[in-house]
Amino acid sequence: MSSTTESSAEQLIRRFRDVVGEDGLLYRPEELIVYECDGYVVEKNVPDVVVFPRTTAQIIELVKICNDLKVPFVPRGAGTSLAGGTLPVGGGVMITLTRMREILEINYRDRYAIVEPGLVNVHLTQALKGSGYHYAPDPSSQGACTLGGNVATNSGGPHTLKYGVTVNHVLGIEYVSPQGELMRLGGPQEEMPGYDLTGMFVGSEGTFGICTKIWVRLTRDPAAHRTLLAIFETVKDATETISAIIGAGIVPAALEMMDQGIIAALEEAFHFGFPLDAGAVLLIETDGLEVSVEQDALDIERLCSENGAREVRRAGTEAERQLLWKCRKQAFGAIGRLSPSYCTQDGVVPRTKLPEILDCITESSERHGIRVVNVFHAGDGNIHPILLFDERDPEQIKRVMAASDEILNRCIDLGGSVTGEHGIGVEKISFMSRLFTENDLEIMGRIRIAMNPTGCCSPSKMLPTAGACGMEHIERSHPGKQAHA
Amino acid sequence: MTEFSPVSAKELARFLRDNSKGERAQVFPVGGRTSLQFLGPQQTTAALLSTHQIANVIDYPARDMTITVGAGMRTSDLSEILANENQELPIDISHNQRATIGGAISCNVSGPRRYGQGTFRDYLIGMTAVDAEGKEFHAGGRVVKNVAGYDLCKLMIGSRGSLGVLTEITLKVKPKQDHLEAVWINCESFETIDLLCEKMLNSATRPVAMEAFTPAACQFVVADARINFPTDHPVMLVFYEGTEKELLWQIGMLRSELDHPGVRSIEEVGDESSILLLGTLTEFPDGGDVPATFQANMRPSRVASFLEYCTSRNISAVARLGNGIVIGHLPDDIGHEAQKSVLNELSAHTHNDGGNLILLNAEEPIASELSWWGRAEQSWSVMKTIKESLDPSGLLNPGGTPFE
Ligand SMILES: Cc1cc2nc3c(=O)[nH]c(=O)nc-3n(C[C@H](O)[C@H](O)[C@H](O)COP(=O)(O)OP(=O)(O)OC[C@H]3O[C@@H](n4cnc5c(N)ncnc54)[C@H](O)[C@@H]3O)c2cc1C
Repeated sequence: MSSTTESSAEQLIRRFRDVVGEDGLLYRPEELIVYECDGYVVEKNVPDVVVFPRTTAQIIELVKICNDLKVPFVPRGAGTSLAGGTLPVGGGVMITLTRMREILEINYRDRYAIVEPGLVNVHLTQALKGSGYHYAPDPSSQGACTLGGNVATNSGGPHTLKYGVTVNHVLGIEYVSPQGELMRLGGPQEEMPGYDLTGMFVGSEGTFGICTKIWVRLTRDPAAHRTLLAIFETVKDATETISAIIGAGIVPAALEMMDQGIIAALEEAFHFGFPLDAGAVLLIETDGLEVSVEQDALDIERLCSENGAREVRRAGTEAERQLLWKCRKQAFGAIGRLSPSYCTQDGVVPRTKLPEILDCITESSERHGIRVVNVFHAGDGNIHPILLFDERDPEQIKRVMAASDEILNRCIDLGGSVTGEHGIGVEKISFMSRLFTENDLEIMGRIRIAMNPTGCCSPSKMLPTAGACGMEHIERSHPGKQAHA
Repeated sequence: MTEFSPVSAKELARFLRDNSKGERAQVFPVGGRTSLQFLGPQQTTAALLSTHQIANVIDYPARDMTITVGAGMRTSDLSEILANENQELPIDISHNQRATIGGAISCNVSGPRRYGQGTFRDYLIGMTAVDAEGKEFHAGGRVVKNVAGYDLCKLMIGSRGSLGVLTEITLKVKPKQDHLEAVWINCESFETIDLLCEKMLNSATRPVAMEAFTPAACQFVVADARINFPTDHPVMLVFYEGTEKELLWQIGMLRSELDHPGVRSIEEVGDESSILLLGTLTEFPDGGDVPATFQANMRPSRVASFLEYCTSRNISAVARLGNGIVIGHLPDDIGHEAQKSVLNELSAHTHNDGGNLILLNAEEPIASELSWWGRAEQSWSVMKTIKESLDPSGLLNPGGTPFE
């Protein structure tokens, strides 16, 4: 269903064409199909128009036109969202930022870079290579996802454990407000008086406007690191090792877990030499000064052995280390070998509760007859059970949803959250009222109205109420999963 | 002004609810009263609302490295509880015997170690607050990673109680570092300091703080920290934290890296004195009876020349070199007009680079003649909208925000 009538759609396209030209627009049904969903494939809807601005001035114009015609719009980066963040609920306009991908400035002296929102995360890393500095947030999707998408979802990654998530590395933001005004929050100066709006903008999932420029903090490269692969007979031993490491006061740079299912897929894809009979492996990286990393590595090896590791290997060369990280970061890519479709969940529990949540995942998988493999940011307690299914079978979809529900509800019961880094999007809206009280949601609703008064920017995202852009009547094909109270 | 110190969050909420339905007095939330100078113009009917009795440990799963406490807990008590588990919140908070953790968050307090350890933005992971109408609201949670909903924690940091009164907070904490060691680097000039800052960008060492002083501040610092180091030239101070082995290696490395003709001497301050020194620098913003104390925010590359200017005006100033923050006290031996013109010049200096200068404290007539918050920013209009949507009647800490 579309929110624009035939004539207003035509008017929209004509006016957009004046701003971005014909090659900046897609509106034919066969072209739009690619944009019907992002990395969350369970729910789909095509936008009426996809537009590719090249400049901030164009975005201002586009947003003003949307306002004029009362059409909803949603920003999109690379579309790797795993929560349906870019789903154009009710149709409307999708503003895709991938043509705005310049690095505008790198300033080592003041340790920041200014980038456009469509810049792919890894391209910044590559540009900084050899300088002794890097941009710390490294989502596993960094080869594709954009900095604008990272800001909107407050992305994390394997090295979040020590270095923090996106918000810990963003100094300032320029954005086009939902009314089409150009705004600036923060900048290269670390502190400015007043509220930390930059901090609040990060993680707002596209509902506060379209981010057009980002000031990011550059981080020193670690002087030295040790990368270990600990092999365990059981998932339980591995998770207990995680608690033991963190409990001993060691904060590695990264602490990732992969279970047997994912190891098999990775081995087939990369031939690293992962042991196929292992129950789980931990990929652990410790970094710091050369004088101290060795001791950390020895302590970690000891804790692994004390907790039942069958073997602890070290990446002997930089090439071996890179391969290990490649395996980890491309783990999702390898899943195609296991199943036609998959749904990646994103729960968080206090780190000491990992054994309990992994038991819950196994039980849910068995109960619903859905195969689940696990690859996740264990040190942060951020689980990513990957539910394997065939999206052509509606019955399987139901079971995937039921199993996901169970797992996420258990995360809440264990004192955690339903999303550590992927966001609420459309996928998890119905969990919001389990996580938050009515008052909490009401306050968030007020903030949304303050930032996005008409609700036309990213309608029907994140909050169960508000921001529907006059489309309250629209029925979604797979409305976010229903959490059981 | 009346004062109320509820013993629980519930009681605090009831007070605010009753107030919003009844008297509608302006309410000034306070913790340890260490930053009361920020209270705006107050009506006689206004009420001070103190959280200091809401100070319990709610949950401390030390192995998860998070802690949840009442917002009124003294920061020194918090440090002690964490130290028992060999953990810490590595934020330097002034007056920590009096300051409450909720107050420190509301004022976004930080000190020298923000360079290496970050600020509350990096540690506050969950909170409960009560709005002007007495409604309790939460954000975040007790897990270290969580992106569910708008991050109201960030909004509350530095909001000075103008959006809600914090009652409960959850922090991410870190393993406590074994040792702290400062290195006193006596330099020929501020130009040398600028050069050393550039060198430090690629240092093999990882300082946790980098500070510099004007001569006036230097004399105060040595006296206050009871140390004996040369103060006749500009000084740069580099702090390291870690194991003995790490400190030893880093200090040795620093000496070789900073081998430069502009460096007159490099001296280790020593374990105990380093802690005292960190304390002195943390307390530095409290200048006692000085006519005005300011904080200038700029890019780090502008700090050395700013300090040079401060020196020429006999300002006692301490700089966070890696963060671009300078805190200074105006001398009291010049007239008010001269003080105002110095402040205006300093402001212009920071504005030229897109930065800002705010007053942390000021006596009359400066207090009422100059803007406390510096040059107005475009984003203040957004802040105003947020304030109006969360506290429509403007009951909470009126006058305590830049945009009013
Ligand atoms: C294989 C795989 C691995 C992943 N691993 C991780 C991981 O390790 N850590 C992690 O955090 N995430 C991970 N993700 C999720 C995803 O990559 C991140 O959420 C990422 O930040 C999305 O970036 P994007 O450019 O693809 O944004 P999109 O998917 O296009 O959009 C995401 C959200 O951001 C909004 N948005 C995009 N651009 C802008 C803008 N310029 N202004 C305002 N809003 C905007 C959108 O409206 C949407 O709500 C993974 C995804 C995949 C497919």
